[in-house]
Amino acid sequence: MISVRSLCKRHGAREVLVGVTAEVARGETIAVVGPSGGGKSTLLRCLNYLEDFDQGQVEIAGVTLSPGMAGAGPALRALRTRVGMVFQQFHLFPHLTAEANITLAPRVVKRTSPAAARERAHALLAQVGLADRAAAYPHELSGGQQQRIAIARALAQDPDVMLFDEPTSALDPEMRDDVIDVIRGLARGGMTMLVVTHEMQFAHDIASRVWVIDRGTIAEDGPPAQVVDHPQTQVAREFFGRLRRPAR
Amino acid sequence: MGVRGGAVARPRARCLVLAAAGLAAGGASCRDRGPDHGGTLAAIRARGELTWGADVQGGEPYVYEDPAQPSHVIGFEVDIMAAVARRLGVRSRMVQYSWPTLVPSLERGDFDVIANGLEATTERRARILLSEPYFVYAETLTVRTDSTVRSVFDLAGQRVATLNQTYAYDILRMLYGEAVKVYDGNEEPYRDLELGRSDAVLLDNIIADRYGCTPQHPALKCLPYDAARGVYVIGIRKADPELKAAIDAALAAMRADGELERILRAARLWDARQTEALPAEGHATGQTRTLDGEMVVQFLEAAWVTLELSGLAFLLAVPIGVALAVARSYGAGPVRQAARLYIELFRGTPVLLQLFVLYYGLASLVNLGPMQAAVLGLGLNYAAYEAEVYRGALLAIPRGQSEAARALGLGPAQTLRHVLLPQALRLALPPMTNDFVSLLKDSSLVSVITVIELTKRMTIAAVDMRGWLVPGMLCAAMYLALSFPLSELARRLERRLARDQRPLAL
Repeated sequence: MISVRSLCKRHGAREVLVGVTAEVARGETIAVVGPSGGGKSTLLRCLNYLEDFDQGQVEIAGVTLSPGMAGAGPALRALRTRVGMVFQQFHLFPHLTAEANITLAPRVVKRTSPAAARERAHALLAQVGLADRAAAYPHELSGGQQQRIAIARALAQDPDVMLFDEPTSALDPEMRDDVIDVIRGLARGGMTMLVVTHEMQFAHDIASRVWVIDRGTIAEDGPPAQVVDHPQTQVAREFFGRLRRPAR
Repeated sequence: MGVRGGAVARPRARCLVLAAAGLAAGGASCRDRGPDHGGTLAAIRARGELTWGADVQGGEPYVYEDPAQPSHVIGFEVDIMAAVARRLGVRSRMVQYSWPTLVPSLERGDFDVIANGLEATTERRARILLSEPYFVYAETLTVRTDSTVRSVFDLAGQRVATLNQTYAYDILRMLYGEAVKVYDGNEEPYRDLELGRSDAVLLDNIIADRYGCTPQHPALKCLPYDAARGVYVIGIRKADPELKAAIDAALAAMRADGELERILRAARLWDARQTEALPAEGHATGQTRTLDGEMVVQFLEAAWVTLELSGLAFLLAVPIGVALAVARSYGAGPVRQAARLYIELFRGTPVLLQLFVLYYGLASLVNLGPMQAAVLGLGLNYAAYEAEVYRGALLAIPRGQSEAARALGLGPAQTLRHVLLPQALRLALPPMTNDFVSLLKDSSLVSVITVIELTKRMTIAAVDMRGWLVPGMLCAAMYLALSFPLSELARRLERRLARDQRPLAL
């Protein structure tokens, strides 16, 4: 479903990604962890081409990405209807209701009829546990509710892959569980997902694999039982050690 | 005569400025403020200088800047006042004032006398002292060469034009009521006549001969009959009868020893009229008007013009402004530069100048009606301001919004239309309301292209009522009555569209 080969990305003189190579099979849930500034978010953003990269190639949901294709409209359009993205800060459209946030892309990009888009939106709202908030505006919703709407918005395009960029980091602890439950449900449903996260419990319980990303490369890659419980590299040991100390 | 020449730097909110001037000038006679002891004549002799008010925009041949030496003022009235001053044993100094404010400024004591084509009318004589005449003029009717009009009485149903606050204006209004086009400059009435924007122009023969039936206007002719005659006099404060006596003596001596004739001949102004019997004093408007139902109706009509004008101009400015903001924010190099050039050009030059260029300057290319030119001129000007408001609003939208839209597969145009512009418009609502209220007041500038809107109506009423206070307050009340509901409407719209936008807590 996803194949990353020798992905390199520079911000000026700083190398953010240094030859990342990885494969993800259909239905896998990858927890992407690692120290801040290691390149987790950049990797995710390269996968749906919100950011260009300098070298390498990505194949994702049947679309091939290569450097310098910023102007390639139709290919990117196809990519983004097949790859959904959820942001740390939700980025809901504040001038639209929850329902309109969800129906906008299907109506405008896929030309779905308003009625069909609305029907699908209500199904998705039910799926994320917010069936009664269709008419609410983002500012009337809690952070956890907003993030669940954002997930529903991404799912409305019926993507093959979902990318989550720290989906619970901006939330109060009591709201995280609602969001995590939704992601867990998706994982059970067989969605292919990459989740950048600091939630070790989440990585442990839901992920089929964990990537530890440090200094632009995948330092460790394996099932959570191996990577989280028995980290091999120094960076992974330090990372999980630090996270585990204040564990609840 | 009236104010003439291009008026390029008017205060923005003329209504309030004039209303304030009205408060200062007050009733005509209660604030005469000449020197307290010995009168103005003694003061003139003591300082050795006679100061007189005039407006160089009156142009040739009255008082104007010497083309060969623009810092130097010449004209037949300069020569006459030099001779009068000499005969009083003092120097003469001209003081520049805007023509419509000459009488109130005289009353304020800003200068000693007025000498600038001031016509002797009964109404003026009731307010200030008038000297003996120094010139006899004739009201001359100018029409297109193919016109069948023979006199001022043939003009029913036609569009007649003249200068503001002149005796000719009083005559035309007496005959034809409010359907008279008024101008502020000498050249424009004749240009519009030639373009067919009006059917006849009535003005002093001095002006008609020099600006109307000239080789520059081959399609115009001046009718050879005097529609009326009148005289130019020197205006003196009510409190200065001894100054009037001295000036009258000087003028009589100039007439007797031939100096007046020499001056007028030198200016090519001497004609048979100067030696014929003096015309009866002009008396055209009859009684001073008072605030009545008819005047309120006229103000309401003018307020409607102001609202219609401002509304249409804003409807034009908003879409152009949005297009300019998008072009300047997202366009390719040349498009971006073109948008920037437009904004700098329209924002960096006075809207009054733009109106002049649009209506008079481009008249040979596009013959716009006054209302069309006014809407277009204000709309194009305000588009530049709106463009920057929307650009600022686009900049204020968080980056994540366009990323989220892109991540959902929306293209650039779709992102703009469905995500960025709706949010930008919400952010732009307060400055847009600001601009609309500002436009409402700026629309008063279009009186220079003969549209009679609220402020123009007030200046007309102020002349008719011999005071600024009542019309000024009526005018201000109507502007407020227009702007306040709009502000209220905008406030509600803002509350509805931007529910989530509140000032940050401090």
